[in-house]
Amino acid sequence: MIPTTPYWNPLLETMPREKLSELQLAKLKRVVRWGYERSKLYRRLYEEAGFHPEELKGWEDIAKVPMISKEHYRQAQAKEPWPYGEALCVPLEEVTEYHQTSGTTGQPVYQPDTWQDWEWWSECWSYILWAMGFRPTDRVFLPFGYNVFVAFWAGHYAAEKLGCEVVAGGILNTEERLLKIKELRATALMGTPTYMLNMAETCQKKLGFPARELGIKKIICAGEPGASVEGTKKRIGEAWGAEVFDHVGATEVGGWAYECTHHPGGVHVNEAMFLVELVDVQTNAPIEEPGKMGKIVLTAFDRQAQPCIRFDTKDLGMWAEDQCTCGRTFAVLKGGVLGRADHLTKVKGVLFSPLAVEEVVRALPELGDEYELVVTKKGEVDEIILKVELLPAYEAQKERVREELARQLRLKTNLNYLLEFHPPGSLPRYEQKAKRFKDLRPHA
Amino acid sequence: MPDPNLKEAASLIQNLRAAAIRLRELTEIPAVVRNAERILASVRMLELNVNEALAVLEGEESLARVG
Repeated sequence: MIPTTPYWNPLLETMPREKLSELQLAKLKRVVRWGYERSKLYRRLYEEAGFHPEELKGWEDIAKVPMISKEHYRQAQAKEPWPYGEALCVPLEEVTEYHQTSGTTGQPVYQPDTWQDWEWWSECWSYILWAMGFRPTDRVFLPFGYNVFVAFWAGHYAAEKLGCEVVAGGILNTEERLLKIKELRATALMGTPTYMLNMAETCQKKLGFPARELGIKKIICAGEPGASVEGTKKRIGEAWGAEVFDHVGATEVGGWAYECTHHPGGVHVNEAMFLVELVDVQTNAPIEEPGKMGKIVLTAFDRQAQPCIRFDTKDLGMWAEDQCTCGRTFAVLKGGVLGRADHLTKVKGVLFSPLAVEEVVRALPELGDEYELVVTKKGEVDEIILKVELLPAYEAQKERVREELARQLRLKTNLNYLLEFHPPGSLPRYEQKAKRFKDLRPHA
Repeated sequence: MPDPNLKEAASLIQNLRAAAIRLRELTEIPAVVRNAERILASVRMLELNVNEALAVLEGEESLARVG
């Protein structure tokens, strides 16, 4: 019999906030002690900062715990035992899983997991999938290349744990994947927002029918902020005729946030498994009030091999004002991840977030799904080039669309752009994380 | 207050842990040792979901170790 509860674990997901806070503090103390006692990286980091785990008595002490970054991991992993070095908290022979970060910001970080960690990964993802309505009756198709990147590996294992039937669409190409979805009558999909749009486009162009005819009911997106961008979410939903959910995770952290079926306009933080702090981008001062953007700092409470404790993600977020109507007491990050602190850059003296451009592009029905942003310098002046694809049906209205696009961009970003219209299908397509923002200015 | 059956669940989870640890110690047969190890990983997830949640809901001060 399939349980009827909407919660994977009501004990934790509906726990009163003051109890949740007690649980989090106890878990934080435990993992800080674990890192200090088990890893040379954390011990050195803490000793250099003059911090000892015994000093962490209450929430007021949290700022004493030094933050950790990818660079700390990279340096620690240059040492023995290869390849995890001084970041490792367990004997090497207890490691059963290897993954790595994509390396878009430098040398990839290697991520070891014990079997218990791997169980934990799928446990965290089970919270995600159950909240999105995945049930044992679902046949879940995973159209991603199973490889060294953690991507949807844990989604696969969690779907199995829930009792779903899981189809690994690994090395198939996009057309083959679409045909397999059709043949097996899959009901749910997981992928990056970019690839979900790419698949829908391929379905229409190469197979000659709309993706919505495939019968997919649920799509879980991750890897990019897109599924929390209203225009992108709507496009994916309409293209597939499916309910679209956002989820947030990271290789070093785990799957830490998810959207429920009540769609709260953001993602619930799994506060039983993770601590999410928002801090000021410049000063690292804590941000507790809703509506104020800050940098996301994450702690995974229960990971053994290489725990992340106050990990500076450089992602941006803001707390929602209201609790979700779903009954979960877990806090909500409004709009999911709102971009990257290292993409938040000044252009023509104005603070600029590339994600704001996606909101504009994807909200205009005359434009295709893809776009590219290039910031460059002409003489002493910054210049932003926005490349978009105009759909053929609107070719005759190009100037009207150009004016509307420019107007919306000014409204949302306070900046003027050089707009380039490219033929449909000519801008790069991506399967995993898209790289649409390029800052080519000499200092960048 | 949480479902009273959960107290029994928490107790059974601790019995499972004790049984899996004992199983792991009883023999060197890899088929037993490694499967017991896997059971312990699942038991840990049960502890995170039930025992630790109950500990906080019922006001116990300390939580189990990591790992």
